[in-house]
Amino acid sequence: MKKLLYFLMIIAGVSGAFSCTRNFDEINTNPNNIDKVAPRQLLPPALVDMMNFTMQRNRNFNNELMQVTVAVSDGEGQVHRYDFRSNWADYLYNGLYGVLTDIKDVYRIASSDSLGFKNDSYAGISLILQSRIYSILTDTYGDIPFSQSNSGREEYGSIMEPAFEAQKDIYLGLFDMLEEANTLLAANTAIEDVADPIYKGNIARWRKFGNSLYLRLLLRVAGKAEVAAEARAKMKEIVENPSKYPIMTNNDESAILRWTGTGAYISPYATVREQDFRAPGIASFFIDNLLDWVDPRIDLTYGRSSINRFAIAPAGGQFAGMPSGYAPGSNPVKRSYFYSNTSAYSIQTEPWPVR
Amino acid sequence: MRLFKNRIDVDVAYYYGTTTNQILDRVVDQASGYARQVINAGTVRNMGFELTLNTTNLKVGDFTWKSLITFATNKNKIMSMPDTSVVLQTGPIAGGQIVAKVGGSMGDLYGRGYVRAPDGQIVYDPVTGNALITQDVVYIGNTIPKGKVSFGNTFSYKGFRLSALFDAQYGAMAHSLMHYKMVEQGKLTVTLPGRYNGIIGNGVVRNSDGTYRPNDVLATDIDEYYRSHMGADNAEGSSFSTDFIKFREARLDYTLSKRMISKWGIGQAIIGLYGRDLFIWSPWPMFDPEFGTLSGSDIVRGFETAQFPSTRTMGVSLKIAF
Repeated sequence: MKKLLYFLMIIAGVSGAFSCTRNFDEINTNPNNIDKVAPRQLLPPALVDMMNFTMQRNRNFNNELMQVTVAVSDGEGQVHRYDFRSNWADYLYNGLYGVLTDIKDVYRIASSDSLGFKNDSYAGISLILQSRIYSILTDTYGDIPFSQSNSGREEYGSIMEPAFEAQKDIYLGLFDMLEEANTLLAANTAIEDVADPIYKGNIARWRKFGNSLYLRLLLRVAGKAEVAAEARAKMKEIVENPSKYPIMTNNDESAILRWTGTGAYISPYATVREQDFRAPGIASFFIDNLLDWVDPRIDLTYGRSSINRFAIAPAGGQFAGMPSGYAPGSNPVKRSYFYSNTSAYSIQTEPWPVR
Repeated sequence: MRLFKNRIDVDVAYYYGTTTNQILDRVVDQASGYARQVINAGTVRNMGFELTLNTTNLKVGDFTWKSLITFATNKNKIMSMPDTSVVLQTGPIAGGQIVAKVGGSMGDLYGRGYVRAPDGQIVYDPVTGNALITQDVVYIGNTIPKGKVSFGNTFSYKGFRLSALFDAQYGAMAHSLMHYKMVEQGKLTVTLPGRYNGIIGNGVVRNSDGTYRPNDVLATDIDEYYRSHMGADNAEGSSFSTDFIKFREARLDYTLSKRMISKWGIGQAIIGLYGRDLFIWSPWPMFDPEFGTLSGSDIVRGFETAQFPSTRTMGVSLKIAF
């Protein structure tokens, strides 16, 4: 009896071993998954993420550094006293390269003949957005990975340590990208308007956005001796040839991502606690300059319900700021601050609705 | 192995193993387009010793006393790695990370810590009196315990049986997020000293010529003082040892005599009182040192994040067999 039992167990074990790997590939593949992704699915989340990272960075770091707001604290690690750790640099670098992965995939999928999603407009839009992000990255960090970046996947070369390139070469590379975008978008291939929260599928406006960005980047290097001559010649060419290089001509053509509050289009500031949003005081450098220039953005006549367009609260009837970088212990008084969403209007949700 | 007419039962194991090509999930340069990469890497050596001892200590008439002792210890060393260090896991604050380095051990915890003078004392800021925190991460401890011990005793007399089980663990430490949060809100008694008159921290201050003198700076901003010790920027200050001794289980059973119960057709009846997870003796401040934290689809040790207190269970049990 025992021998029979052992024999049966051995037979069961051996036959189990054969069936282990049979049909493994079929069984292990999920038929419900999408294995090919369309550019229209990648584009909106990438846009929202791109704005999320830059807006969060602005509130937490840039505003303090550039004397727009002042965090009221005597503690260590306050940005307005230039006391911050080196790892503060990671946030924007990691965030924007993550966004670039999706935006570059839009280009790769929309220019591939074999995947079935070939569309020159998506490719052109991707190039414009890539130029914008790379320009932010190189303006912030100097020399960065450019042509080898976002190539971690096997089919793009498994490059886990992309080489850094000189800022000059990156800018020249961006100019090539924007030229190519201008050509691709000239064909005016239609895209799905749900994929485009900025222009709702109006390709002509994307072309204008791309060329205006081109002008801006050329202006940035127009003072650099090595490339000044070519940059200025190119700027002249763009401005004199509006049929070949259409550029933005009025406010309706602005590239704005609206935080409508539906779906994924919710401002990253909406999840900030409203007392935290009101907490930093506005710096006197910022407010005093706006008052000197008689800036319409703090002028109440251009606002609504006695809140100006910047949604800055007055202190004691007028706009005043506090000193940035004050010494710990000197206890300056916080005057103006940004309204939070407890007020009728604020920049915590959507700055100014579409007319 | 049994000795002395089955009164001592001993099981001893000693092991030494080398594992190569671990599957590790490491952090990579985001410029590659991705945040993490699964790699085969490293050679890790494990050696350890395990002991199980069952003894019948006393057998006199109807009274028996048995014991069970188990002991396990493991030493883990990383012999080689493809890079000098691989970050396996990052914690929520203060640069806390689990790093694998050659010569170290799996589960080594690194994070920002106190700036220390050459003699090991904490250095304080000469103006504010707060503790100084390092810019880079330093080694804080290891999150995997060096050894586990358990000790159980069972006493039986006629129909009664009483058993008690104790568990212990030593050699590991972990970072507590809840502790740092409560310190920042001033909710722990450890943040009481100095609220009215200021406090002079226990340590040294650096003189302008590079020598150190005992700390004499009164810190008056108590919020910032305790934050510098145990707040969001100091991983060393909010990491504690997870050593413990737990009173794991106690049972008292009584087996009803066959004469009484056979009248009702019952074959066997045992009634008992039991308690589980009764007491913890541990330097770990935030409830229970045995915890795991969900991280994506993994459960990781080493970072406590808002743990709830564990529960003690007590009850009565009745077992009837027909």
